[in-house]
Amino acid sequence: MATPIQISTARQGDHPVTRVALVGNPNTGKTTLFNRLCGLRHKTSNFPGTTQEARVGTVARRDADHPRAIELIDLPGIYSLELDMSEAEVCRRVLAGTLAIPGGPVAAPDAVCVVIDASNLPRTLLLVGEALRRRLPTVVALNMMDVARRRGLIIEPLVLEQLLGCRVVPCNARSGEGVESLRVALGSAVVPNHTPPGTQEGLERWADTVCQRLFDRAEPADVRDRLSDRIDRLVTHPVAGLAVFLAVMAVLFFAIFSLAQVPMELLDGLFGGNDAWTAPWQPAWLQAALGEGVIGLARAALPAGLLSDFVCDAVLGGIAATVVFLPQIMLLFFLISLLEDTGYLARAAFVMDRLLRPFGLPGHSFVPLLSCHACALPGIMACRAIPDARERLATILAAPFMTCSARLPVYVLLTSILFPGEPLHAALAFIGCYTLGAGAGVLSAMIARRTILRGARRPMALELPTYKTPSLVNAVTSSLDRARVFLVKAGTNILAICILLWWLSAFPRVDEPAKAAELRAQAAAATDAAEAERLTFEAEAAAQSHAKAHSYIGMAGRAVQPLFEPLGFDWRISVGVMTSFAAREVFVSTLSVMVTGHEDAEDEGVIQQLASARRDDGGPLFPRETAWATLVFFVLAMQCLPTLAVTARETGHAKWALLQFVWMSALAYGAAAITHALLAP
Amino acid sequence: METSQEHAPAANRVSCAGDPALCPLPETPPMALSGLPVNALAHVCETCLDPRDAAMLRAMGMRPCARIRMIRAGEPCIVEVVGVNPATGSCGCRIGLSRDLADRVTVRLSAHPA
Repeated sequence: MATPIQISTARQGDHPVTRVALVGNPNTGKTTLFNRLCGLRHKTSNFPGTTQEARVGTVARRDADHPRAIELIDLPGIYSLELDMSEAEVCRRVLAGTLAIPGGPVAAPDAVCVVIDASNLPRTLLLVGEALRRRLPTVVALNMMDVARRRGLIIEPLVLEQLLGCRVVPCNARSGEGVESLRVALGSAVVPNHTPPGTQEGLERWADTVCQRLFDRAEPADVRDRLSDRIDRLVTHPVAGLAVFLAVMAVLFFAIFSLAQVPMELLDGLFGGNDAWTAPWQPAWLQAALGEGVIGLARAALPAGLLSDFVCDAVLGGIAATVVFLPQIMLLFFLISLLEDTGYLARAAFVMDRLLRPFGLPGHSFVPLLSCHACALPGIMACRAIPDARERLATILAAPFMTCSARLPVYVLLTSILFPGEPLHAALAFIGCYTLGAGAGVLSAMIARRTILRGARRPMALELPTYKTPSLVNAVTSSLDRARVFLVKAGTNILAICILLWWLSAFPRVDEPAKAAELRAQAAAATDAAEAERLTFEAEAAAQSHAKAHSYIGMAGRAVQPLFEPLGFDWRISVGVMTSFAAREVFVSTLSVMVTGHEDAEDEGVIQQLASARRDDGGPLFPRETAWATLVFFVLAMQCLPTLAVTARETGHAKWALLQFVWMSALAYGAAAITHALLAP
Repeated sequence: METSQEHAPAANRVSCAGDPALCPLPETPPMALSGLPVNALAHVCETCLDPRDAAMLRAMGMRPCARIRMIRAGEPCIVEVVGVNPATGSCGCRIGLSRDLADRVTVRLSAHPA
């Protein structure tokens, strides 16, 4: 006799909540089904104490007869509950009620929904058997019925229901067929009326018997897919496969860089304003809004002083520094989701496995490492796709060595100083920086794999999913999901770091220097408006430079300057290095403020001023050996606190972020010191 | 260079039960999966792998007695798991395996390439 579903004590509004765990093999359409049932009504977080991600969503209710809300918990995709893998352990513990469901009690779910591939019953039934043995109210979602029909498999859901002893709902998550019936079935799941055998062999025989009884009236058709055979041979070929892979990645990253540029500029303009958006025909308020941006408007609205500086520089500046990464992150995950859905990424992992394996990294590492050339944050987040924990950690440790776009302003400045008027040499230096970063990354990963992350190299075994048209809904959902995780988790850390750095660079408050006061007096006395504006600008520059030099970070820069002596840095470069812990590109603007008094370092004139700037002792600020040492330092150094925040979050431990920081800083310092010593006259 | 075997736990051997009713193994000599020609059909008779890899492959459908078809030989080797018994329907799933693994899976050829 079937036992009716037990109602959980959890409540949502006035109704009790039925918590349903969604389990299934990878590539059975589990995520598509989750998205179809919950849409955007879900939250993504980690299971407490693990790095395993859980998505918890609310299933839409469309009838008054079932007032209980259904909360769906998307568990990691697994081939078996009994495997010695962290994903399987999370599933086992959730079903046993010993691991809290995010936002819920430490209790077994009220029901379990097993998603199976109708075209691959002999294998997927094994997971059904393992779930049935848990004696929880169970519903089987018989997904991908369209693929089964194409393969000539005729499945009678009612017969399968009798054989399994639980409710079976045929559906097609991609088209939505049968999803409404599944929703209703989830609210009325019952405990199965029989239990499959406990041993692996017994379970396999049970699954075979179920299949034999199910198919005894139909002879499966010849399902050989010759086109897929040919494509598989091509895309995994040592040479042709690599060419296909490089072409796909070139398109992917060209799309990310080119398409993300527009929204990034829009976001930049939204916060900082953009004079190019203004036109004479616009009303004054619109010109001010477009030209000054949110930060400019806030500065105009607030009385000048500490509050204005805090709101504009720390809070709004911090938010701007966070959201500017969003377009790249969203696009990257959107495109990766599309690629994954086609079935190609699993094949590509094998192509790259040949190249990365000698460094102790799996083929799965390539996409995250390549993503890091845009920004390390999405790259590190993309490491979740690496199944082995040690290999995942090694990839995360190597990721920030890749040349991200934030390093580019630093490279532009230093290569311009090193090779003025020699674009070819500057370009070669750029290529050298990319190569040095990538080489240091994979070598660091190799060292980690042979020391602290020592462990068996897991030979690759991957299911190669059927080639299919990618789902736009899945890609959009994945992209929004990642954006939300980034904003909530990493974004809050980045904002906190920006506020802290603002405080360090804004305090203690100091009086304006005499030079600034003198320039202001000259500006007040000037009769020519343009001259007055120029003098005011110079006064502001002198005041900012003075304030920066006497701030806590400026004092710290002077204090640590002896430490950077072997690298040839003077105190202003040391301050630049310290402020650039927030983000590397801050180095250029800080140095620009320290030397010229304003931040527009993109200006060619400013680069010239930095190149000809003098130290307190009269020597050049950037002699050749110091410029090279600084370049090497920035290629290798972990000058990005947001990356450390994301590493700590993705690995689940601050110790990995600390190790990453110490290792990269030590390597950067050592390499820069050697460079300086070798090139010093 | 470190190999996967240096740090791998002791490999465990998983073989067919030998029951002809459940597993009608062909009378061909056993051979490594990595030596199987493209398009050939074979039965898996034994795996000699790290227990975690063996359990993973088994859960993916590459279990003793399973019928497989070689799609691509070499590195990686791609096989299609055809199922245990024709009457139970095909798995139709493809698995990519590194040569390391394919070397340690023993099969018996049941049909030569067409």
